[in-house]
Amino acid sequence: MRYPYFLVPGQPRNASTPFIKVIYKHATKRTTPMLALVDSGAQVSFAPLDLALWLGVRVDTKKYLDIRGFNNAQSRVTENLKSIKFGLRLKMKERSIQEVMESEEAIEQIEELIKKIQNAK
Amino acid sequence: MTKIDLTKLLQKYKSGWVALSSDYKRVVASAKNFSELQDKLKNRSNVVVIQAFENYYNFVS
Repeated sequence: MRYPYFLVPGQPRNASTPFIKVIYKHATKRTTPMLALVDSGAQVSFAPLDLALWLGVRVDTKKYLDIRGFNNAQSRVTENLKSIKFGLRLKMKERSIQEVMESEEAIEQIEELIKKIQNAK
Repeated sequence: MTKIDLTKLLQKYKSGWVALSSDYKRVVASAKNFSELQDKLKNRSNVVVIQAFENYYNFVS
């Protein structure tokens, strides 16, 4: 399975970015395909707030998570989005196979991890 | 590995959202916020949406 890398503004020409197409879904709404960054080292996935609001996700600003990154830098995010749908298109010789995976199981695992982190505080 | 170059397409969009054709060759629409872009697209297929930044360094999604 191969996906192209992307060159985007601000990045050096020899440093490309791994985007994949995803569809965000909540209740009866779903987005058009969007480019999202693949970050295999991340423990949490993020989505922009205005995207969540368009989907109708109820944003609870009282429930938040402190995300810690490089050099102990800390950001605060709200935890709300429940499922992301990854659409994969595989080409095998002259046939196209489209496979769609629901990632709710992964989201549940992430939510459990968030709860563990919060309980540890 | 093939690299898709979006630098020229995206260079004039410093913020907001951009919809690209699914072959990544042209900009179909742009807007300040996601809701406005979705209204412009009106369930149009064969597009791919990306957030616009002046600099994608340290981009997280």
